[in-house]
Amino acid sequence: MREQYSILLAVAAGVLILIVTVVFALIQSPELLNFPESPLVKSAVVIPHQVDGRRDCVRCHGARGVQPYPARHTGWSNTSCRKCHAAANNAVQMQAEAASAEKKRSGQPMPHPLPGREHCDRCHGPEGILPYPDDHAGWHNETCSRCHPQGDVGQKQG
Amino acid sequence: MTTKLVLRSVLLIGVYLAVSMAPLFAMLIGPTPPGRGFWREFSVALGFAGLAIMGLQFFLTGRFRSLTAPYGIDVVYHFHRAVSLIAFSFILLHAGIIPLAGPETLHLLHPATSPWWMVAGIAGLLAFAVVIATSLYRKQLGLVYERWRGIHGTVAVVAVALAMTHIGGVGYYAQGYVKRGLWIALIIGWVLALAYVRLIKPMIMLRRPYRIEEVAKERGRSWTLTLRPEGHRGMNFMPGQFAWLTLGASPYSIREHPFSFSSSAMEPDRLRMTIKELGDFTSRIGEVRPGTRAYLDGPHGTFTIDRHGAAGYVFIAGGVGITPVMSILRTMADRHDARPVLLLYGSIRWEEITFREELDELPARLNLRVVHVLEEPPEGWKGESGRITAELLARHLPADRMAREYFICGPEPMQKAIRNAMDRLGLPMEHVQSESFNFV
Ligand SMILES: Cc1cc2nc3c(=O)[nH]c(=O)nc-3n(C[C@H](O)[C@H](O)[C@H](O)COP(=O)(O)OP(=O)(O)OC[C@H]3O[C@@H](n4cnc5c(N)ncnc54)[C@H](O)[C@@H]3O)c2cc1C
Repeated sequence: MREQYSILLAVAAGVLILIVTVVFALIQSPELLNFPESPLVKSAVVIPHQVDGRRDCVRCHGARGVQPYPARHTGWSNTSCRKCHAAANNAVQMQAEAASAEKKRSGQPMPHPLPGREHCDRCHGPEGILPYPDDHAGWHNETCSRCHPQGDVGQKQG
Repeated sequence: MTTKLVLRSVLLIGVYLAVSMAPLFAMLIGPTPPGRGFWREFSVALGFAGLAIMGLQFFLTGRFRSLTAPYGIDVVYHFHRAVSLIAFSFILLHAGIIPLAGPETLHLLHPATSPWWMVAGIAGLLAFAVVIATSLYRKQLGLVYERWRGIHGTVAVVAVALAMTHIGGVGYYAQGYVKRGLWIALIIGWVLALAYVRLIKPMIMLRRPYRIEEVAKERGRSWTLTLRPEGHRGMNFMPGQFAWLTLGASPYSIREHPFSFSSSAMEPDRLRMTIKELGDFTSRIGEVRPGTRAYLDGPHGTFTIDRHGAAGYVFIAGGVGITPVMSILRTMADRHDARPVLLLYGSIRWEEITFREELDELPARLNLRVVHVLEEPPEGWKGESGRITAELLARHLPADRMAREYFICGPEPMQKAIRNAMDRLGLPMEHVQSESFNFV
């Protein structure tokens, strides 16, 4: 009897606390209720590429992806990205965003033309004649041009 | 319960809920990092709530009389047990949801890449699992009570410390004075509760020692210890209450056992406890020498007529469950209390009825009727035998049965059977008080 009373009290407290945890989670991440987007969305970078068919953001932007998100995003899930990062909704905006993203890239421009030299790792891999820095280890040929724009190709041949 | 106690009990429940939810509210105050998806945030909130509840357990088990008085310490202990299962499920869910909601976090579990705060989190989870498993399966694991208590107290502290380290290491909701301040306040609270229980309270007990004056054999493989206070006035208790008894050199020992007072509350300087030989401690109680030092932590409990006033009482005792009832009867006699009392007392054999002779004499000093119920009656026995059933109750309960307060103390199955019987007879169940000797 007294034990049942205690159990009832504990269950009531547990349920109440559980409700508060759900409310907390909804306030922090309201996507389950489709709340209006948070003001953070406005400050976050717009996604400069198509998102259809690319739902697994973490694949490219995870800590080990080709274009990793900042360290403070570590451990975030795919469901979180679109909460702050809006997708460009037309080709013009996409181009503008891509251009601005391009500007932000810090990689050195390539001092040679790219066509015909798509196997960057032949020269720039660890065994190549001009290897990329250690922190590029594991990156693929397809990703180089994302950060290294083709420079003034008329000047040098490499 | 008086209005004051009711108000205090509501207030304490409010404070309990507020403290266990405080980390959740604090997370939303001050600089708040962006959400990381519903499930992720939900699981983090569960982890925070789980730890806050676990931390509060230090207060629940600290035997703070101001906290336990409105409910009774048994209710608080049962609550402690039930809520720990809820908190542990919160913590398990916390650990389970994060990798499910964000598989990219799985690398945190890889031994090669696991950061220190993740190691602390996993170790904390395992420590909580040990605390829960050893409590649920103590007997199956063959752990004696004292060893279990040692493990329980130590591992619980380690688990909470590891969980706190985990939260500090993740540091996601750790910015701002409010969040940091709250966790620091919680930690200080936990440490103070522990320091009170482990250091300050034993120190207070050390200054209020008792000496065993007499060890007297009773019927039914029981012994009565008489305790005399040394250098103080003893313990004021309400008849029916109990205290934790430590025998020997130091109150810092974890070898303490709860026993009801069997003496009259009118004699706070001559306390008696009647103890039945049962296990490793109690079976050697007859060997305790007069002169031995003793310490008491008490009084505790709500199984007392002083908190449940009525026109008359019915006591139902089984075996050694007679001890708190005896304290009540002796007190009523000393107080010249004229209210009518019926005692239904179940024992195995006639020779084993503890306090039999005194119970024969008490009706001369008290408006008391005693009905003995024997499981193995002697030949020619004309009294009641077998178990206390609805029929037996119906035969003996007085005409004013609806106006009486009922007190049951005995083994768990007996208590259950009597409650069922009383329910069948349509007796007022809200006027039934019970004491269980195995709630700890
Ligand atoms: C409120 C209350 C009042 C009690 N009043 C009396 C009384 O008046 N007379 C009496 O004979 N008995 C009383 N008991 C029971 C008594 O405390 C146990 O029988 C005793 O502690 C058993 O100890 P042991 O080492 O001899 O037995 P063990 O065989 O070691 O243990 C038997 C069982 O007793 C419990 N137990 C063991 N050690 C402790 C401990 N240190 N603290 C709490 N429980 C323990 C455990 O559930 C254990 O499984 C009371 C118990 C409670 C909770």
